[in-house]
Amino acid sequence: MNGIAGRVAAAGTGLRQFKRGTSPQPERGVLIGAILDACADAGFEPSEIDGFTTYGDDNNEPVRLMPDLGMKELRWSSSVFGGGGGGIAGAIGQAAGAILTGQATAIIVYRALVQGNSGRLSQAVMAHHLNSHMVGAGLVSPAQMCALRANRMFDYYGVPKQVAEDVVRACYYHGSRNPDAVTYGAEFSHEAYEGSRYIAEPFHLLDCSRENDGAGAILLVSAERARDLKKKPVYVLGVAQGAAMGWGDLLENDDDDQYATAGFKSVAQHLWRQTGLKPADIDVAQVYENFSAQAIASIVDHGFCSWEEAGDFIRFENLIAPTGKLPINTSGGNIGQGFIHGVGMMVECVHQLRGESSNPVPDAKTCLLAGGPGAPIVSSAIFGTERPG
Amino acid sequence: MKGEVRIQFCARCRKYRWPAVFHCPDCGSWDHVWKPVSPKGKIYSWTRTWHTFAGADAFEPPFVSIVVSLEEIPAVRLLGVLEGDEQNLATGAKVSGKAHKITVNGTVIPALSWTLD
Ligand SMILES: [Zn+2]
Repeated sequence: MNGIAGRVAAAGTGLRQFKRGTSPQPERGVLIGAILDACADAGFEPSEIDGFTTYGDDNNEPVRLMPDLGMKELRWSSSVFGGGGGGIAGAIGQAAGAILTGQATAIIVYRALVQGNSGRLSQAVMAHHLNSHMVGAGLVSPAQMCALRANRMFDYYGVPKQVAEDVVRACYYHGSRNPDAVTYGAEFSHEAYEGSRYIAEPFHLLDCSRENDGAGAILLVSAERARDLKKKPVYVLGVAQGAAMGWGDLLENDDDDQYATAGFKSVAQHLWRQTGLKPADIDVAQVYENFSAQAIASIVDHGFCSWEEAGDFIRFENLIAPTGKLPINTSGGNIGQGFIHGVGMMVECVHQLRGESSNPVPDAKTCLLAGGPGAPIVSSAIFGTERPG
Repeated sequence: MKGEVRIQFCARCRKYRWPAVFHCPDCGSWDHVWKPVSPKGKIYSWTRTWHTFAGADAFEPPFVSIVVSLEEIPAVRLLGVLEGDEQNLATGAKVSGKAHKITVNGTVIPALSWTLD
């Protein structure tokens, strides 16, 4: 059989999130906790873990996690290149590749971020990509780089600005119903959105995800092994990562037809081809929103609607569970749930398809994870409740 | 720093390359020259920064950063800060630039500043 095609499954999840600067433990301690949570969730013995994958320049080297977990051996450790969240789904793909080729059997996909240890994420991400031509233009943060793309998107494709607000409102709506979210119980108002200070035009503060301390982990094993564990397996149907020619670390010289996108030109094509699915087959999506406009571009890149249709399709009513056409970010996403470099969205894919989400989508069988948009390398994955025929 | 703007140019197939490369993917040449270009162009995109970001101390918010598509080589885009009058700031507006130096964290780096025509 070609592709991942459900031969690997997520068996357990762990997520520990704290307000930025308030983590009770250093980064590695929090990560160990999230990994143990994922194992307990799956009913899996932590000493049986034999591999790790991560993304976004995570500072926690897998071999250093072995003692706390009592691991017998380490057979796989890898990270997707790139300083941003673009590699999140790619890390799932690396794990699937290792398991399917017999190089490891039980892999933890993780990301940990505690400010006291790794500093501010925005600075770390930029340190990865900065050069003096950007610094000389005062461009030193992901918010500014994404703002340049966003302004072009609004101008060039004529996407109504209301769409960005609707994305943020949907994240708040779901987050306000999730007891683990930073926006739990919060009310969203147009006045608060529009009235929040500008960070970099067109982004107001409420267009931006804001960092939390914490760590997240999911345990991936073969589909056969997952069936013997505690929870219902959530199968990995397909993963794609990378960049098309004309996209990448190009000093804002990306091809004209890609500049204002989220960078998924090749990745989305591969994902659909690999899985044999199409956008209409997706029941719910976790669309990484570092910034509101990048989520819009990601939805278009993945083919859910065209630029011309964005104003009609990406409407609040369409984006929320249980009734929307494409409920997104059902835990609240990076903006509503909290931002540990996107790892919460990966965890929500699994929760949603097990029926454990705070905002369940009835009978959801497929969930898209669209990774960090606008990054030089991006990636996406599709999870499903069933293995394909 | 001479105050000039130069873009990499393949000595064999005579195409501009930006960002610069070691190896020309079109003709296989390793030989490149740096050709002076006129710092004139159109705003491709822009953002006005209001937040004080660490590392951008050379500029006082709010300031406008722009991406400029060069008049001579429209496929090449350069970055810089817009100075002076911002009233007609918009995608497509014509700008002229000049090269200068700024100091960031004690290091002198080349930079471009642009003004609306
Ligand atoms: Zn050449």
